Amino acid sequence: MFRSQLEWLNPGWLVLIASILLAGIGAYCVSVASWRDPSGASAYAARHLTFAFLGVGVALVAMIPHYRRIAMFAWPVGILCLILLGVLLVPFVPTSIVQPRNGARRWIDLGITDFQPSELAKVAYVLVTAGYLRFRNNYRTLLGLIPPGLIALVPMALIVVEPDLGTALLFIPALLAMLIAAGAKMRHLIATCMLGAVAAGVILVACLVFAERDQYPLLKRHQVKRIQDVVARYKGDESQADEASFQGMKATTLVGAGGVFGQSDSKSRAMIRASRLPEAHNDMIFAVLVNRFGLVGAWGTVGLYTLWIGSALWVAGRCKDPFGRLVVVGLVATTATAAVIHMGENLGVFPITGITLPFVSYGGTSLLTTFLMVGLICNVGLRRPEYLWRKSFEFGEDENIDPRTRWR
Amino acid sequence: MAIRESSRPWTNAREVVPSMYLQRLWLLGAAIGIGGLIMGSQAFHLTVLRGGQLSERAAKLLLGETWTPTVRGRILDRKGRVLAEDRPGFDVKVHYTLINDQWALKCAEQAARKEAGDRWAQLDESARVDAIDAAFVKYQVRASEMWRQLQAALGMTDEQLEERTKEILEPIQKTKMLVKLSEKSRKEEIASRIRKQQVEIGWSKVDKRIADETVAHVIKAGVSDEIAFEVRRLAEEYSRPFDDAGAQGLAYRGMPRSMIVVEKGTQRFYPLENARVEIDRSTFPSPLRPAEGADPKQKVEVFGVATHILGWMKPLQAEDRDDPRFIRPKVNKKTGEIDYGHYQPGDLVGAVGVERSQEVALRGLRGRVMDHHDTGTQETIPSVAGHDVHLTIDAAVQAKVQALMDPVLGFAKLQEWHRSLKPEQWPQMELGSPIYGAAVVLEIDTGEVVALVSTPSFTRAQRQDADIWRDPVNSPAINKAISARYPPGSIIKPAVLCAAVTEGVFNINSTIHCTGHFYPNRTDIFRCWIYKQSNNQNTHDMYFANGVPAPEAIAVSCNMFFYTLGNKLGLQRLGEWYHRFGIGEPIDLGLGGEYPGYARTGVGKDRGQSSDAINMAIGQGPVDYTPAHAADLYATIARAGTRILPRIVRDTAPKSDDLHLDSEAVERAMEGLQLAVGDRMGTGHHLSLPEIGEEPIFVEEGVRVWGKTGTAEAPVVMGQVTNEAGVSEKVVLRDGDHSWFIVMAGPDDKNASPKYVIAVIMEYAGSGGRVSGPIANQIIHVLKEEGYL
Repeated sequence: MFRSQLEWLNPGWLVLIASILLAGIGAYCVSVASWRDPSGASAYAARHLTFAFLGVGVALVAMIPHYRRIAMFAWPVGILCLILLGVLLVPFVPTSIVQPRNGARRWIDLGITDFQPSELAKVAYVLVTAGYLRFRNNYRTLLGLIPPGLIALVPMALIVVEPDLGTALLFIPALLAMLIAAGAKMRHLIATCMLGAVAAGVILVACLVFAERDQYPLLKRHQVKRIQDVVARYKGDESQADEASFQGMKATTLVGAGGVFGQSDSKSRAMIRASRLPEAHNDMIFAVLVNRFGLVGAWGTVGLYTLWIGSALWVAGRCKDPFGRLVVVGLVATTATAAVIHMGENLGVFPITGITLPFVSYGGTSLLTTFLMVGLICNVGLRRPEYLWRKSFEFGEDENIDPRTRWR
Repeated sequence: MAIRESSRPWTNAREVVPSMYLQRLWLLGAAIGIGGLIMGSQAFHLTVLRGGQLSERAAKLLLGETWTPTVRGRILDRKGRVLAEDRPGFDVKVHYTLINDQWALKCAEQAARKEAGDRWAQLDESARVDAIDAAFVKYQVRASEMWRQLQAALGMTDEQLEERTKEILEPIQKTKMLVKLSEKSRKEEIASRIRKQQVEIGWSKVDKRIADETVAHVIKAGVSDEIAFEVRRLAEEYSRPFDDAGAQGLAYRGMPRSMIVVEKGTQRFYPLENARVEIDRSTFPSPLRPAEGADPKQKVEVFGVATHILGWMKPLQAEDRDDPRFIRPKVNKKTGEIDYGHYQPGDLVGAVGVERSQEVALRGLRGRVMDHHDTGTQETIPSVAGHDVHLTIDAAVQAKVQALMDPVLGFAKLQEWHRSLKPEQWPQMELGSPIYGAAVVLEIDTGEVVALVSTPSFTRAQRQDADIWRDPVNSPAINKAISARYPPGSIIKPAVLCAAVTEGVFNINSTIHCTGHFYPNRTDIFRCWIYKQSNNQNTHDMYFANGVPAPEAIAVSCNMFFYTLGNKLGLQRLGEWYHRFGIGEPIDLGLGGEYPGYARTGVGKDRGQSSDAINMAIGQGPVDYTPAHAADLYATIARAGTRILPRIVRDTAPKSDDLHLDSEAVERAMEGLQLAVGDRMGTGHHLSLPEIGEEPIFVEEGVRVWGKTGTAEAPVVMGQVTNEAGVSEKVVLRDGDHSWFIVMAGPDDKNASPKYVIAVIMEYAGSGGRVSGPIANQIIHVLKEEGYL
């Protein structure tokens, strides 16, 4: 049915190459970042590499079936993810299976390694949403935006209560990107986004105002503190370097100390150890990277992501199949947002929520799922468009819409 | 599906990229690209534009700075004996949260919070308490296990440990309470400022932990190498993780990384604090002299030699901001220089006495160890010892004088022969009761204090004993030689003579009649002592037909003579002369807590009446001073009017002043002082011993003495006492007179002048001659033994 010829020469491979390079850099940075256990530094790096290799394997396997065959599993996988997310929240699950860490229930213990369902949920969500949107055009009405929004809301809600606000927020850009690519009306999207932004702004300001009075009705105290922290830093006020803000302070200090060309291996390790940077090997890996390789390393990494994103978008551009197109766009948006936010947090632009840097940060599930994404992108890139393929998502402005039902 | 033409201006974009889908891909790409650009430029901003500043901050992280303690200077006596010195050792410290038993609770709370994560906020109070309780036990077990092992390693008893923790906790909690009070007012201030908003202000807004609560405190100082090694092993063991938080090597917020800390430290040693001195009893008055043929030498243990003078050390509290000399910041803000002598909380500093007053000289500089974490190298700057402080005190004399004033030898114990003619004088004291007081030995030529004793003394270990600070009768905590106020009594009389003659109100060669009472019509007030003692029978005129001449007036201590002089001088002139002799101003020996003395002048606010002058001329009424003042005053007379301010710290330059006393008056006064102790009529000549008869007080051969007795009316000391019936009643604890004796001693040579002044006062001991005289005589003996006479 889907036995089309393979397009061996395609930009998907560039995505894979960029991923492997990033994972390689990641392995080294993880070793530099392991100040808590310097003797085990190489063990962490080796684990990272092992998962990267496994990841490449996963990617290759993910290329084998035609992506439209995969599309048929989108809903079952999505539901499986929801179940797993649900299991995390069931209160009486034995701690041998769900061991809370820092008060968060995000991991399922598989014996060999821990599995983080929210990571897989990101992929499943993209597949489900792409599957939902591919043959429709009702999202070109304002009300038509509601069903895809609801699809996003379910996993997001489950992840927020884990709690893992950062990961949950990644679903929004993915949805937005897929809607944009699918041809939803910009003015609807802009209006919705602005509404959301205003709501977020109001909540934010309200939180800050309440915080002045020592009340924390919507966000937790530490979350508000992080926001205040970034606000203070924008104002150039670094005097309040206390427990809540020190992670961000340390990160920017380490970044700044990297200079243009970075520090030597031993000095960088010593600095990171001396600064006692928390979560250095995952949430703060970019700071470690810049400390070690300097501005050159930072720009180089940004360059590798640009290559990754550019190539992936190229794949999306070449693809004619609506499902393929949306899957690639959704995955690109997820990955790019994670990368930008992670860098922003490390560079003191955003408050710290704890998002990992794809491919670079230490984390088994994270590596496997990001390589799964690479596999899916390559999968799309490998499939040659079939002749007589209907071009999807090409709408003229206001086309097919009865002016009377425009706002429906 | 064709793309429809449109007339809108942005159609151009559609012409470049005809497909709407591709347009939107470009849009997404551009959006992501902008994100990348922002990140790239922020990276540039941090690494290049702010790189220098941040590198500097990061470089600081690579430097580990450890300060080694200073080595404090020594305190030496006038012969170079070491009275106080630092000896190296190790300090074993434990973090405050473990000392005040909050560690387990705080760890449990944080563990519970961590476990609950963001749900913590939703838990109600009882659920939180349950969660904390669940975690509490393992921390509590660990903490008590640590204490048990540490106590064993340090070889401390339960009591010692409890004592030590109390010592640490009490001052901190006191400070904390004060801070809390000021916070309370701050809270009220905030509340009043935003009253309109009706907001509840949490303590978190105002509550601040005081610095002492965040550091480790010394549990035992100056432990040996072996113990330090063992404790280090313990410290290592207890810094290892034992729970999930520890598994990440993470100490809880505000919790110590290591529960026990072993630091190189120094301990202050006072080698002569307790001494064993040999007292020669061969010249003791016969009731106290050993039996014929027995060894006249007796070994006496004295405890707390010169504790009052040297003082002691205390750990500097972080909030100790009352004394400007402890405000020594690490970095001078103006010059940016590092002060190596800076203070850190817990540093041992002088708390009282010479240790406190000479803090700046003794302090010394810290050493510094810089660890370069990147290269693993170490830079060490050794500490610099503080300056030695030389005292004018002779430790041997000091210890022996203290021994003489110890009840064990009998002088400072109420004896039958101490009692005057009227035994009812001390209804509150039984025979054998200890008597305490003070003695000062001053070198006349230099003004140097050779000994300054206040009894009872105490050791630094006894300092913790609350009774030392509460005893209202013996008041060991008070240095009686400089801090207690005593009426001068008759010993002031030579000064009055000198003043009257110098002022020209009295011709030194004339006499004054002693009629027994000053006012012709009043026989009940302003009486001469001889008149009073004989029930208004005797007067000095009975012995001196032509009136009492000046030297004899001093020798027999005729009150009438000095009433007259006081009356002639008037209150203002007499008061001013007392001030010139040093009464009314602290001598500033550097021991702290000096009583300045007081003499009324009747000028300005200091109002008085003319009869005050009459009373003050015999050392009663509105005048009082300390034994140190008394010794100073006599030294001034002995120097014929040159006052050299007494001093105890040799490193300070002597200050002198000339009172321009009439030289003939001084000569006659000295003559009188010689008669007082050298002639049978003198009040300080002999003891009247029951069954033995008269025995001269000053028996030291080869020594010439000048002296004066004083019997000063003292205030009544009341106290609550529980009687046999178990009822608390107010009783008189002490009543009567203080016993003064001032003696000056010099070589036995007609023309020689006195070398040393010895001032002795025994509280509530009665007549000066009987109690203090024999002690003064023995002090002369000691001075001779030690080569001063």
